[in-house]
Amino acid sequence: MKKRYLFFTIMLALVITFSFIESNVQVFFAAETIANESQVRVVQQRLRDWGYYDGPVTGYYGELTKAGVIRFQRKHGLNPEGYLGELTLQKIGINVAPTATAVSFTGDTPYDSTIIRRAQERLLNWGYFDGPVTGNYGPLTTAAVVRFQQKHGLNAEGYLGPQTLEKLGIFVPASTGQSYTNNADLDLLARCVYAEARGEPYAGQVAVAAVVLNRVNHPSFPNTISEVIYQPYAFTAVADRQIYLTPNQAAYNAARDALNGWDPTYGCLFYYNPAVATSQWMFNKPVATQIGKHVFAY
Amino acid sequence: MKKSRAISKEQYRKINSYLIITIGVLVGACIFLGIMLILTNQVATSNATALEASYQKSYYNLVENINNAETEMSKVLLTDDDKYVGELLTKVSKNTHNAQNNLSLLPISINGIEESIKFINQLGGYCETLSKKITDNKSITPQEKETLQQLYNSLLDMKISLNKISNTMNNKYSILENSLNLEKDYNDFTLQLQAIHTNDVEYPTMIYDGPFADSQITQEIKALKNSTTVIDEERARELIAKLFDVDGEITYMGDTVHNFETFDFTFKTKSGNENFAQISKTEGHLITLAGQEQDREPAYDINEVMTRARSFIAKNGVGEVEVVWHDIIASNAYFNFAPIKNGVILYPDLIKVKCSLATSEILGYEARSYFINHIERTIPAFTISQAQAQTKIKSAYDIIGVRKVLAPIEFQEVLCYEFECFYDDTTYYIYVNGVTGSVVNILKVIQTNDGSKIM
Repeated sequence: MKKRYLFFTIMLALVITFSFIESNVQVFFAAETIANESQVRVVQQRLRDWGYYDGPVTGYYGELTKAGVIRFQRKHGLNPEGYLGELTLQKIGINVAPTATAVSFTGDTPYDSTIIRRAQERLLNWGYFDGPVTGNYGPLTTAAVVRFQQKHGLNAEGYLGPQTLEKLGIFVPASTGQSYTNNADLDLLARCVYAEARGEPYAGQVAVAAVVLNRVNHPSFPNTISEVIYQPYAFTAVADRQIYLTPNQAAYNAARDALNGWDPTYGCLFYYNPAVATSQWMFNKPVATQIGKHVFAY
Repeated sequence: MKKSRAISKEQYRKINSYLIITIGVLVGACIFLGIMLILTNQVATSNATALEASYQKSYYNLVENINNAETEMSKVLLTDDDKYVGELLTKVSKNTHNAQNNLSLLPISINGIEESIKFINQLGGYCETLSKKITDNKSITPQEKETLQQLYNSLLDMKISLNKISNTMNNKYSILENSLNLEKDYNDFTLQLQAIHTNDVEYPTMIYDGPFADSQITQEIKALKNSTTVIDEERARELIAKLFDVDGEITYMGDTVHNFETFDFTFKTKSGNENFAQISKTEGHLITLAGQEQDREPAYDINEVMTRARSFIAKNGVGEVEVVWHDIIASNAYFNFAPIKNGVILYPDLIKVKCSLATSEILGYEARSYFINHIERTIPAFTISQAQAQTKIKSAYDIIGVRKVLAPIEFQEVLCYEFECFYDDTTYYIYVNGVTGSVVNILKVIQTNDGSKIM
């Protein structure tokens, strides 16, 4: 009995300790890499492809990824401490330049990993490429680009330049001067749509974006997209941090349509899911319509 | 008995050593947990302190903005010098804008002080509108002076209430802590701040055409308001069948009852796209279509889909419209159509169409602006020539094109010459009033990571 008691006590102590460590694990491991989330994702994908890692591609540098990195470091004569630094990243094919931009390793394109990723997605959707979408310009992507260039009468060298990108429908501004700006409003609105309505029909996603914009123009609410979205208690997606998820193409399309004037709610200021909403005052607002699970009110 | 005692001693020693190990592990775990708790608590306290400081800053900025707005407004009432009044009104407007910004950063339930935000925004909008009126060499009317006096009274009440709350703040009041105490939909801080509009503050009605005006919220549907033709759900369904290559059922989803009253449907097209369409109950027009398709490779050029979009609009019975703008984003083409009367493009009556470059199918349609604004207009004559208007454009600009337009500028329809210009690698649209000859708006085409946008 006493042995069993002792065993359970030790196990309990270990469980408490490790659960605490688990909850703070991000803090511990954050110092073990200089790579950002998207670079970690590329590392995971590559280590998977090369047989050093069999976990999911999450962008999170945890124990499993670290173990994969150690295996890689041992194989390549690097210090096998699991520290994902500049040397290891370079060996994996990720150039960590001082600009913190993950540039491709082949030199076959002047663009960064974001543009390469968008090109890969488009080539995948259009049937020229079968993945994976990594943001790295490797041989598979080059071959897909060559196929695309051949089809469209472009110089089929596999060089991903402005002409090919234009044919792919990817807009890359020629200049970074005064006439260029990041479309931050669209990004933020798309994130809000994705976080609040990603399971909804497309019109419901447009409607959620339109509600944000209707608030911007309404006297009873703040006057910019960011002020409306980050107004305290306005959107649950901000409170539960889902606003920081990466939006999909549908969310971007819906946000863009709303910015272009689409509004299936005709000026609504509120929406709620009647199955889960608890705010009594919201139920007293006049209802205009219901799209998917959301009721839209004004 | 001896043997039994010897075994007991052995067991006793073992238990002792187990106990020592257990206590050691537990003590170690406790020390570790304690350290972690202290560290975590330090981080949480530090975050809470930073957040409280941010809230306090917003609150005191809000007080300062309202105090400043009240001071400037009091000066407005003491002078009839229009130029100086215009300057003061601009300052009031700036302060109300900042006040609204600070108010929106505070942890207030959004239904808690809607009226106060509305008052602050409309006060700013009203002052901005009057200031622009003065810039256009028009005087403030006695009625507007009267409204300004009423607005000042309300602003003064708000200032007094806010300063009373500040006394509470001085008594170690924590906005963060009080924002966490929830009372139904409100938190304690919301209840505290509600005093700024419940203490006998009455907000006057501001009748104006400008930012945040009530007239901008309750838009009447000019194109349909005199029509008595009302259709039923079946007729609306027939219209969808006529407009689209429907595959399978057209599903009725319910009605929308707001500025527009529509029958809402979903349906699939033969290309496999899911669409949502709204047909007006009055006269049976397609008002909104929201659909999307999977990302596919373009197979049509812009002119082919433009023809398709044009014939689609013709089928929807909205009269003659022309393409006045188009853009391609990913594999979709966007078109803006507008009526053209006497050679003048009527921008307020825009219809927007989104087409697939992969299938040429209509994926989106937005005719709200058209039906809200469209009336039979008498287009006034241009009193200045294009050459005269062109003198307002700096010679450094390359003029690419000129069009006559009726443009919605500052909440009014203004007859303009629209000059498309190119300067320093950037395209601009410059609008010159066709009657007064003054420049009324300049739009800059900004290149973004998602195509171009006009600002």
